[in-house]
Amino acid sequence: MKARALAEALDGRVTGDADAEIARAVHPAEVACERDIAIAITPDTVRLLGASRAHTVLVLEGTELPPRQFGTTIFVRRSRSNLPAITQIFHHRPTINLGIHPSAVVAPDAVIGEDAMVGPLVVIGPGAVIGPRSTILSQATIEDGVTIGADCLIYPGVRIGWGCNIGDRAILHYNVSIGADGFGYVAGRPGAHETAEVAGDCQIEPRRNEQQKVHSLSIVVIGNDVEVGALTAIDRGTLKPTRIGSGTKIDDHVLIGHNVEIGTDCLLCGQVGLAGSVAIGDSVVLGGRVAVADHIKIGDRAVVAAAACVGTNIPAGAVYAGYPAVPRSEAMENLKLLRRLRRLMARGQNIPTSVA
Amino acid sequence: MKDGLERTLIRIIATQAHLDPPLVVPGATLSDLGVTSLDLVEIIMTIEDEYDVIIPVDAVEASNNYKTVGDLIELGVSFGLEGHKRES
Repeated sequence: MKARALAEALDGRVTGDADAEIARAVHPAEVACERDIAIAITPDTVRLLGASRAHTVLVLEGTELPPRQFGTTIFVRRSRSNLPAITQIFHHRPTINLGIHPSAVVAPDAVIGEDAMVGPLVVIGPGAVIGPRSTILSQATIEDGVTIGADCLIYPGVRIGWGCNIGDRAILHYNVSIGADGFGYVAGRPGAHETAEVAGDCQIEPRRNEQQKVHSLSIVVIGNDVEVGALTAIDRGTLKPTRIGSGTKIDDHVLIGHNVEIGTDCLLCGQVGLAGSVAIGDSVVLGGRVAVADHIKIGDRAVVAAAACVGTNIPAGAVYAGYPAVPRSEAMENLKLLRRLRRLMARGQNIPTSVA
Repeated sequence: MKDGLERTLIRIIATQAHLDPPLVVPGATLSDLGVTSLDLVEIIMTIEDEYDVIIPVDAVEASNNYKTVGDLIELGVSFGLEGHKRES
């Protein structure tokens, strides 16, 4: 596209050659040719422009440019939407060949919506419904009775188990698993963990205690505008669906256990793990590697800092951190007390350990 | 005396944030220096250790209240650390 058109799309202005052709948007250090535009909307990236090979640059209004000539400069106003808007224009779109690839295996009664695409080696089971304009890329498996809404993008290797429902405009990245069985077992006699909870240890008799599988009879229901990162697994519910609310975004390598209910517009960062029956409100943010124990409830708009281990319910609007997770101010205070304890212990090192 | 306090605090901040001390000037913002809220807790704790004092500031509010290196120096001044005998 031409620089003029890009500036118009971003509600910005151009100086220099407005007819310059732009093919890629890149970091200033990654500029490889004249058709690359260097995006420099942070102080760190602006500093790199001086040594960059950039011919065309995009910066914020008021940016002090390094003392060198650029062929074309686009100025945009400071906005939280700059990066979403720029990347929306330049993002990679998969090659789409409408219709069903000859190597795909599609059940005769599956419904493939208008202008949908079914890629090579895709398997679509009986009774599945693929919404209009949705794209199913190679080697995905859509089992029987699955419904996928309109305008979805299903990346290669995604598996969606029988009966699960996906809303409109979902993006499921490589190898997402939706609808595997939940991790549920009941031992014939109280198991080691149950014994330990009551007795404090698990000195149980040394014979087999067979785990009986609790089957997962329900499905996964995913709302509209949900994005799920690569290798994330969302297990099906036991007697009611596992639910993901509209607008929620889930990072790579997240585990969502059976019966979990997640509200709308939540953010779950990488390696989050939610045990079974966790209930999460709307607009909740869970930092990377947050672990949540089974049946815990987290209120609307709560934020949990990375690597926290949640073993108690969290009220709406609260910020929690640490192991075990506690209100952030308390977690910080605990850190300070630990540091002071070091000094206290050093001071008390000559105190006798016994008064006997 | 304030110069001594300033030098000490700049050293503590530079060490915690892995920065060249010349970059740590009173006008520099902690955010531009890459000092995180956790760094700030460690910085305040190191000040406590070095001066053998307790600085009873709320760690969460600290990141809102202390935005620059100068703010931290003023914090030290307000707790009477100028001329305070440092732990060796």
